[in-house]
Amino acid sequence: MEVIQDQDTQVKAQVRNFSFFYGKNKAIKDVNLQVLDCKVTSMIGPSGCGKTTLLRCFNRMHDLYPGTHYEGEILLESQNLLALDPIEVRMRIGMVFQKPNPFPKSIFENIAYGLRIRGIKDKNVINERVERALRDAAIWDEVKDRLKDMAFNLSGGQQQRLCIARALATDPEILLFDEPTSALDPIATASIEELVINLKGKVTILIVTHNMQQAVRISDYTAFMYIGELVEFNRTDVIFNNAAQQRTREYVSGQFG
Amino acid sequence: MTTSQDRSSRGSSSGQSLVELTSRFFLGGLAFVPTLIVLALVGLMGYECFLFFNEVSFGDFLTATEWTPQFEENRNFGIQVLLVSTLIVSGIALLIAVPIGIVIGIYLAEYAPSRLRVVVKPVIESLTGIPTIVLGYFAYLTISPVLADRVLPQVRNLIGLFNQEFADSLSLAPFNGLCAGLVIGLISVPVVSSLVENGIRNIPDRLREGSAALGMTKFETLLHVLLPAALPAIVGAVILVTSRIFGETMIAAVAGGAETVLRFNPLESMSTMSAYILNASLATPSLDSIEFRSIFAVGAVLFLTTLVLNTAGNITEAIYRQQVIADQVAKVRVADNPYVALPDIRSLIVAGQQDGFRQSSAVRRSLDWVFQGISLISVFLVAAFLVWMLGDAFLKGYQQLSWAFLTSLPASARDSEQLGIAAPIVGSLWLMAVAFAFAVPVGVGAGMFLEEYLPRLRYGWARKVNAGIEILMANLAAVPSIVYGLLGVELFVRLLAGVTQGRTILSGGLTLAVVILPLLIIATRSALRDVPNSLRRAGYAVGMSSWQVIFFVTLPAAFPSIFSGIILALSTALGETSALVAIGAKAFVSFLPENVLQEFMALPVQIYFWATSPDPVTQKNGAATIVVLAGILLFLNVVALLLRSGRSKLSRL
Repeated sequence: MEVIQDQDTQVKAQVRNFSFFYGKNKAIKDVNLQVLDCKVTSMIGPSGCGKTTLLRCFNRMHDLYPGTHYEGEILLESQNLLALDPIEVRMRIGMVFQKPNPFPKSIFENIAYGLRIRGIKDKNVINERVERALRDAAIWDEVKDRLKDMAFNLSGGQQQRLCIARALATDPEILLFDEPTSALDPIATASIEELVINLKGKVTILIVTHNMQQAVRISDYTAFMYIGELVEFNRTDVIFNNAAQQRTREYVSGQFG
Repeated sequence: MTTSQDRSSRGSSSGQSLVELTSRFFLGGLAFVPTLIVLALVGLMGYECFLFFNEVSFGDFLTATEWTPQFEENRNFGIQVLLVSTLIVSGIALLIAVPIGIVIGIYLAEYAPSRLRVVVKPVIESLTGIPTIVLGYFAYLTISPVLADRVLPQVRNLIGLFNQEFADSLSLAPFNGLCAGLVIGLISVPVVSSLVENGIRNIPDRLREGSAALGMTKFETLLHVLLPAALPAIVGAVILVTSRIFGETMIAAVAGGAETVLRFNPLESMSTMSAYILNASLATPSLDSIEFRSIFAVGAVLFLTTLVLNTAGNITEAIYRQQVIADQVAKVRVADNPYVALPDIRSLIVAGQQDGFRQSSAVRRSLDWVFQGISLISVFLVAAFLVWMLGDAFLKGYQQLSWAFLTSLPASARDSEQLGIAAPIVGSLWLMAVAFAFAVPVGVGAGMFLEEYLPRLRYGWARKVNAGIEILMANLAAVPSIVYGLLGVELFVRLLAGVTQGRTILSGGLTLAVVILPLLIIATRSALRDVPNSLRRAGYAVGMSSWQVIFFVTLPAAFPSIFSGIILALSTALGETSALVAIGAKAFVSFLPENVLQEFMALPVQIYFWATSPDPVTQKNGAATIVVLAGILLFLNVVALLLRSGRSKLSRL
């Protein structure tokens, strides 16, 4: 695989000779990929290409369901996260899902939940963290006067930003986004995209998207996947303007997918 | 261009609309039957209560501390006596049913591996299929002696370490509230567990994933996310099971005893409200006596209590759905400068806990194992109870089983060696035939109307009617069957005596029809609701009218699950004892009934009479009858289960 040379970036995570199986079905085939620190990396490809499956390997989501297994390594800095306790992994790597999934709690408690479970009991610290997370997720002004309201009362776009705040509150080393705007309208989508752009330089972001324009707008690096394989990985402008592989060029120009 | 073809097609469509109107009005009429039942229940009960309170002052009814309807002099009707017993027995039952039921429900929904689940779930739920009369005798004949001879001495020794005097004072009466409460609690476990399981399963997976993605263990997700989300279902389950427990009759009557004395000690005999109704009906007091009216006064209290509980359940759930859990939210201070650098969160955690994540996640995860351990113990308890009970009845009764036992008439009431159960078997068959002849058409028709026609009425008064009927149905299904027994006595035995000839198969069958009607309506409605709307639209798209869609598309698609509901109703009706005792099923008839206007015996009632007998051979006959009845019910439940799994294949299409 190509190694990306860039002056000011470090490798945050590295996928090495990695395969993933649902039962006997090999859904991810021998993937090698690097995720650069504090950059946005997007994964694109047609439906069923394995991009979401690969994303969910990073926080060991597949461990929730029986009959799945991993081969190879995903290094988080120097540790193979496949050898760690999945709960420890998930405490370090946050995730935002396709559909907003706030908990049946107040807006405040949705954010505080992750902090409490990490053993933080000091109310001032919790208050500070909740506010910071809501500000970082650009939703503070909309909810600051109704933190006790149920999270379900927010609009879809607000719920999704709340979920982002929930993930940000715990200072994740990597933040995973699984098609975070596919259930939202264009205006809410724009606000989420702006948010992701603002998070650049603060958090390492890995995002799965169906929308190629979105990948162009927000990501620094892009990985193109096809039927479980990583076809090409490079800077986003290279992938979209000057891809090395025939299949990548066909996909980004809309000839299939 | 009007051709004859046009005209004929218009003609046929007006013919169709006539069918449409007829079917709508006919089904609507059937749907009105439940309302009639409620009116009859309220009216007749109110009338008898009115007569009762003409003789007994309402103040005395509330304040008297004795219940002595049998006395000629100094007769007292203090409802407290029965109410206290009912509360104590129900309290014990709730202490068993609610925690065990919730734990098992959670376990089945979240933890049980699917292979274990397919075994555990039917085993637990088969408890609801066992007639309560069988459980009552098991409590009285088997559990009570075990508690008295094995458990009580241990408890005495234990308490003796602290207070010898108190320990010596402990003794367990053969009939006692404790045993009744324990068994009622155990058989109510599946009611709670299946509702809780459904409630938790209905929570979308994305909530579980969201919580897991934050680094929560399964147990933390359960505690902080799933249980709050499932709280309406859990509250609903607890309230529903409370009203069931309140109305449970046969176990309370058989194991709890009949002493109507104001007592607070569950180790002694205590008669609950429903047990009093049953025992007083057995004495068949004259229909105009004060004893007879007192039955209705107690029935009214029981009816009102269950009504209030159900309404409370509905309201709690509605309120909860609107605003849900009030979270304790710390007051948030708006920081002056929000962008002061905050320390890395991991440094906070490590400062608090030297060992960091790894250690803490191992400790946190151990709660998962603790919970699974508790669940498995609960499952084992319930399963062991079931096996013990079935094994006990089989060991006691199998020697008596023979072809002759099944086919011979009792030669005489006294000679127990000669007893056969042909008369109760035939009696039960007749009762089922009568009950289903009335209940199936009415129940299925009303269910069709309520599900297929009524939801279209969304405006003005029709909407209110619709909402009212929903509440009515939920309440009807929760009325204890002994109360329906009282309705049967008053309506079929007394008022309609000209038609039914009194305490006959017709009266019994009609009463059973009333008992199972709500079950059939609910089963029909949920079966129709499961039919995907796309099927209906497909029907309309090819030009069918409403009634054609209902009869040719929806009903056939829903038929397997309606049929499985009918079979479950059949098993309920076959095991129903208290309503038939109230109606006046006989302990002994020396002929096989040939028409519906004759006196009758029935299998569960036969068990009731035989198992109480002091004669050991008659008791064995009772056990053998239990084996026969349990065998039939097991068969019916397996058939219903197979039908339901057949349906799930259909719905996958």
